[in-house]
Amino acid sequence: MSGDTLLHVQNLSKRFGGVVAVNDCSLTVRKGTITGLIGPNGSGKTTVFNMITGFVRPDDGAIRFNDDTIAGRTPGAIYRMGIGRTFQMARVFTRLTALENLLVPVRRTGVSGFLRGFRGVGQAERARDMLNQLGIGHMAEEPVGRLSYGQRRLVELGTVMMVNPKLVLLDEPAAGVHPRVVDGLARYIRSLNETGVSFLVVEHDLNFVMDICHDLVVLDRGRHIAQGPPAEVRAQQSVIDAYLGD
Amino acid sequence: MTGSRPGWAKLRGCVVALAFCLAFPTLFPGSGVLNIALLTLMYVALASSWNILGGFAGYISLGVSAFFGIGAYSMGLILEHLIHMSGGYGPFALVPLAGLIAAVVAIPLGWVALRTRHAVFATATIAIMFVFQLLATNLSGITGGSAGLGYPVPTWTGDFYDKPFYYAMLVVAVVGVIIAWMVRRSGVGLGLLAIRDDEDKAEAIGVPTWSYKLVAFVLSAFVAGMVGAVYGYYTTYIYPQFVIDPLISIGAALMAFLGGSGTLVGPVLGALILEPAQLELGFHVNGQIYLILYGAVFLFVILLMPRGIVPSVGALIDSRRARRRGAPLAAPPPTQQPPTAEAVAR
Repeated sequence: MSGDTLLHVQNLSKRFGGVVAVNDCSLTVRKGTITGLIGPNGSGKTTVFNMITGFVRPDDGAIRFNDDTIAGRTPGAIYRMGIGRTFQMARVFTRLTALENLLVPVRRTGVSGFLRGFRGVGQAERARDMLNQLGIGHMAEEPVGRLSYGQRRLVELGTVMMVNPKLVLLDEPAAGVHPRVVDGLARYIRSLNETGVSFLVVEHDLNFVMDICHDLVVLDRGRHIAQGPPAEVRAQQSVIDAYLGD
Repeated sequence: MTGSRPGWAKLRGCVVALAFCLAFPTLFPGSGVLNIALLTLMYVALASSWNILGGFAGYISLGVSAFFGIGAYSMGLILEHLIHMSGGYGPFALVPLAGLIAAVVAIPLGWVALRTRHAVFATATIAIMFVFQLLATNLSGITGGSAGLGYPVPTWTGDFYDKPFYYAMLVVAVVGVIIAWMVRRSGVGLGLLAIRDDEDKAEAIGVPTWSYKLVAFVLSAFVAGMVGAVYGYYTTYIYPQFVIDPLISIGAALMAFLGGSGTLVGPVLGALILEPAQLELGFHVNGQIYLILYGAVFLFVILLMPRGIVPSVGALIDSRRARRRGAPLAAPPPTQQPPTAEAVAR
């Protein structure tokens, strides 16, 4: 693993019964970059995400994050290592308020952590700031179940950012979101990236991907077929074939 | 300050309610009324303790009476075999110890049962309850078996008899509500509420779900154990089928559902409505007719008020306010502003 590599996925494979979801897939995410993971439907993108974040155990292959092996660890342990993720369908705690959602991952230890109210751990102000920056500060005390889908996506992203992750995996962040929110989201991701947070983004909206990504990885039928700068990858014949058919 | 008004209003409400509870035996000195009040407080404590796991985390336990029974038997056995006390105020000092024993027993039980979820967890807790009922019945050399276990008989008599037990139960009920309140406002409580909504997601963002659930299970057992100890001393004689009784578990859960599980006031309200109604019905109509009442309340809650009284009334008030303002309940789409790196770094 070279010095500027943050995440290194090597020869990853996963089979569900007779279906090979991911087949000998390798990819890298360099520190401080936004890497796009694209491919036709069913090419194994979300399965790769699930394996990186511990939701699915790989059958074969290795995943290294900052020189630590992460395959086989629980999702919580991987999260604490500094890998946050959002889901294809926004997963938020609908009966909690937006502010409470952001406070859920804040760690509290010992008896004092138990006795002190969760709003008094010094993180509530930071959570409010985060919601303001996401443009939903006025919804801080609203149950998330009342928010629109796009707003829920923002709450989900804010929750991930509360623990200062080094790498964030975004699974189709622009899907089903109002175009205006998508623009804000792209700016927010770039802004976070400027502070040193790296991203691995699965997205079908190629304009969005081309706009924000420094690197692209293309999967087809569970196997990676290309990795490199967007302009180069887009021009490769194997990528055109994967999207348009051989 | 405007922001602190709701907090002060709640505090004032609590003080008034507590003052009323303290004055109750003076206001209504009749033994029958005090007996109903005592048993209502018992269910206030049980429903609040059930709510810590069942309401906050959504883990429906039907085994509360196992810990109620463990508390009752612990205190009875300590008085019988370890500390020989005559009836009086002394045995009340053992109530926290009985709760502690129930809590310690709950640790290994929760360790196993909390590996399951949903209906399987509910079934596991029912199984735990029946195992303890069987143990209490069959370990007759220790527990007295089906012949029961006696407590020292209190020295006070007549109309005064219920008063010490009423106040003891009031203390336990207040402790139960305070524990539930402390859990709700803590990080553990927030974690439990997150578990209720999406346990896998909570785990994925670093919430120690299993430990939080175990803490809730043990705290719930602690309160139930104390309630059982006071009840055991009150009745002076306990039998397995009456203190490790599935109807106690069902009653506690039902009261929490009726009032609004997951809220602090809901279980208290549910107990205040259902227990006096059940006792009155049993007294005036028929001993077992309350079981029909339980069924009717279950149907009522499921069909008309699945979230319980407190959340349903709260939602109704919210929607009326919103309609009066002419504003939709859901927020308008956000106006996105590009966030700044400084804000993110902060």
